[in-house]
Amino acid sequence: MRLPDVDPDSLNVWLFGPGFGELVIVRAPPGKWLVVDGCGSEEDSYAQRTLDYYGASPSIVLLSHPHKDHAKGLRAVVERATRDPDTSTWPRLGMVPAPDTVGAGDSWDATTALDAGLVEQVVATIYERWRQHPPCRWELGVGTSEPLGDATVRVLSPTDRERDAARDAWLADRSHNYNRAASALLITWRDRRVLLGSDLEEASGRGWTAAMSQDADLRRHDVYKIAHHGSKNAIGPHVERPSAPHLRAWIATPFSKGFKGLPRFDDDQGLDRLLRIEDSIDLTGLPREHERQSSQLEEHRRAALRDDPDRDFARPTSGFPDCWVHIRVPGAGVPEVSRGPGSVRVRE
Amino acid sequence: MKHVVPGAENAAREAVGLLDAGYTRVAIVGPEGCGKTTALRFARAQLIDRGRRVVSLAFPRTGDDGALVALCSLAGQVGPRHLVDVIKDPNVAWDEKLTSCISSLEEVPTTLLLDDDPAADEPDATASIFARRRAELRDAVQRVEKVIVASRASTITRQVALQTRSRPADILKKGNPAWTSGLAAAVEALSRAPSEKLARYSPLEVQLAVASVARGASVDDITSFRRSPRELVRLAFDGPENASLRKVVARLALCRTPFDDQLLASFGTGNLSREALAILHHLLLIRDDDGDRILHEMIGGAVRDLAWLDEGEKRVAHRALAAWHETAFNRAGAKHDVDRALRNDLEVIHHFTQAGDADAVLAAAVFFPEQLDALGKSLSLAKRHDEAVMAYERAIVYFADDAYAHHYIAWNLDVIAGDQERILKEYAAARALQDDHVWYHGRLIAFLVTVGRLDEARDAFGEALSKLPRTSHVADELHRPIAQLLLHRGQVAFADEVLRDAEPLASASPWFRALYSLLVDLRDASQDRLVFPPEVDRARRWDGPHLLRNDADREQVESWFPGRVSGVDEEGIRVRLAERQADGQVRYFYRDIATEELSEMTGFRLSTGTFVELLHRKTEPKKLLLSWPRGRRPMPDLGPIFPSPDRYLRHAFAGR
Repeated sequence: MRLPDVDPDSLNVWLFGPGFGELVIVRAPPGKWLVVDGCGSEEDSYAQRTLDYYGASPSIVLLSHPHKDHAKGLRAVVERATRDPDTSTWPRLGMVPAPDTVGAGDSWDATTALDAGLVEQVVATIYERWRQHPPCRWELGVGTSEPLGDATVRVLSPTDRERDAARDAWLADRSHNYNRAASALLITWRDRRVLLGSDLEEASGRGWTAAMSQDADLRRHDVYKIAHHGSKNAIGPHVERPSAPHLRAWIATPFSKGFKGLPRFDDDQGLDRLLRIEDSIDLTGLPREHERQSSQLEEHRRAALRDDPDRDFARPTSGFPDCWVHIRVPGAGVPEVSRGPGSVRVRE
Repeated sequence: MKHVVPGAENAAREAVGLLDAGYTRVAIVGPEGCGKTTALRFARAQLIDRGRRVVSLAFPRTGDDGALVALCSLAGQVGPRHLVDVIKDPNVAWDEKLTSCISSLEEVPTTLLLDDDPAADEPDATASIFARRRAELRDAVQRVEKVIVASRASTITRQVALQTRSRPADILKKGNPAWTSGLAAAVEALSRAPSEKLARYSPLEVQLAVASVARGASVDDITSFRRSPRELVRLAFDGPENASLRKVVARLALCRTPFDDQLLASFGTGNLSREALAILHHLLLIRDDDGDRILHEMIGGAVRDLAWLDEGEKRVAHRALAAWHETAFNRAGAKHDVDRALRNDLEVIHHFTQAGDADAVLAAAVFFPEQLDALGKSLSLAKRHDEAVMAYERAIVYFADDAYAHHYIAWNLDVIAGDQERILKEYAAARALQDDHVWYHGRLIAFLVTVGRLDEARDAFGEALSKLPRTSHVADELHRPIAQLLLHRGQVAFADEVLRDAEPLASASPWFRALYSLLVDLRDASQDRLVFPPEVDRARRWDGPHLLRNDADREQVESWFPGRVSGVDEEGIRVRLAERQADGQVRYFYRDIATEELSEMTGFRLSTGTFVELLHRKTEPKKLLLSWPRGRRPMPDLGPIFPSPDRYLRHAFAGR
């Protein structure tokens, strides 16, 4: 199985999500690469394998927020990209300076310890490069932006207040919803707009509502990486239909570890509500274990997934490259979506 | 051949006789408190009578400057002025000082009386610069023509064994006019005890027994079984009425030289009862040839172990000792007593070091950069890391190749999440200067992991393995901390490599088993297969259910599934469960349990990370979800990671 060829004259967006973890890779003309978050494992970094596949080295690497399902395999990418003693070759490295490492070293629950320890390692890895080469530092804060080739990557969240609240909670070892400090990003290229929702949730006056103050036209986008794995808490004004008809590609990555996982297929849950707005949504996989993802391109109605969420596929995945969706966004015209094994197109 | 002789003087005569007979190495052996040091004093007198040049060498029992003190003592006894000048010059390297001193010793036929160094028996006696210096000095003095060693045990073949059994009747002499009625009664009581039971004790121990009985212990306490010196010391000073005496003796135990009545008075003897004073003067302290007093190390060591002074009291006592040695230094200088002046000068620095008076030490004229290393160590242990760095930096001014100082500059900065470039440079310098030292490798690697330079850490680990011997000590000092840190950071593959490498050296160690168990659990976690808490022994995991209180309840269980709550929200929980199938294979699966159903299965609110057991039963309730109380992983000999792995992040982000 191969990954799709790059169209050098288009904006190329890849999303990976093998059940737990999320990775976005963007290539902007004339050949600059962006990596947002990571999935897989320390030994099997989807991000690094994809970069290796295309022979690419990233210009920007971002940790959108310090959560276990966004950090896996990112350390390897940062270390590889900063190996050259000539620091001018290093990518810009972005994160929200509010790490969530609570649980690292947990002596009772190895899962919590593993997840928090991995986050701590990634954050330390990025912070060390910031220290070694300050020009590579990108504190992800509202209103900051960076060029990516001919495109621009702009940060929509978190607000300073949310960032500080997350940092203070970490320093005080308090539990906190770090999704409030997640960095949603808007990538613009020519007239095209790719909205990467990270895990930003909506809250009254905060979250997506606040992000809209950065760009009131967020609902006008060509590609949307649905925020927070399609949870209903992440549905805000940015997903409403634009006033002018606009074809949009919506993709979600699954999260397997919550109650019924995310996105939820039940009535009035996240996917139901999202499908009232868009006709179809592509999932990189289902909210289940990686080894139970399909080896085929799947297409299902929401009700079928709602009624039989545990259905087994005849042939489960054989691993990378799987659970991906690729969108080619040309300078003009309709975005072209291609999908990998394990991905699921869902309609109402 | 071993000659067993009664009494120190006889032992000395025997040893000197063996030298006269042509032997060049003789050992006087015997347990603590039997009179070995006294025997050396007799031997010294006898050898001087024969016209021999005699030098004595003794390492102080406390402090890190033992080798420096011993070398200065040698130089002071050998005497040429230029040698003393060389020894006092901090710009002259240790090796050169040592060579100069030993060469001077070799110029004239000399007999060395060596009160053995207890540190010689310590494992890895070269771990610190201080231990290395002692070892180097011990080796160097072997070049002296003739040597008598006083030691608990020795490899020297010609040995004189001091009689270890005491003759209590000799020691329990009645009618000493200085004794109080309480002491006299104690002597009387002990004299009535079966003499063979007291004979198990050395003379000094019998004296402690007298003090113990005088202070309220029964004779039976002493004679029913053989008490250790430490127990005798504890008995002798027990009780609230001995509080003042305990403090006095604890202060004296910090003094490393003979002392006079002025020091005794400054340590509070004026507050002691007549009986306590009598105990102190007649049972605890010894007088040396110059009329000064000595607290025997057997008592001093026990007293220090019993920690009768708090840190503040210790600092005050060390400052008092520094002041007393300054006076003694001036007195010795006025009398041109070079040996004593040198020693007092070193003692002043030692006590300021122990008191943590960094300014005083840094302002003083040190003889050795190692004295500054000792100051750095003292400050480092007191968590005064910035000042410790200053001390080590001063050491490097005198001795640029001081690997120990380079290492500890890095370590102290590392603990406080200091200047990372400097830390890396200093760790690397220490490793380059002494690449066979496990700490210099291990702490560099730990630093690299901590700051997120894992690829470099991996290279440094390879370098360490190529330079270090394959010993259990290296596994303890290198593999253990590195693996623990890597596991903390979720770096399972790298940790696996480290533990695999350690396995042949450390597989029986509790730390190895604990880390290996953690590694397996983390690997299970990375594959989403963690369903048992660490409390359940791996071999017994499938012998469940483990959470049933009564065995009778087992009969009601049709099937059980271990699991872990992987997610919780207001509508329910998702549990990762496992089932062992008939073929032995284990199947893992998720089970979503809505809040309503959950309330029928358990009375507890379960949080993410809770380990559970799902039971299917024959009777109502048909399904039960039992949960493990949150516990701690038993990790013998591991302890928390120090310094905390997130210190750089906290330092960076807290200061924003």
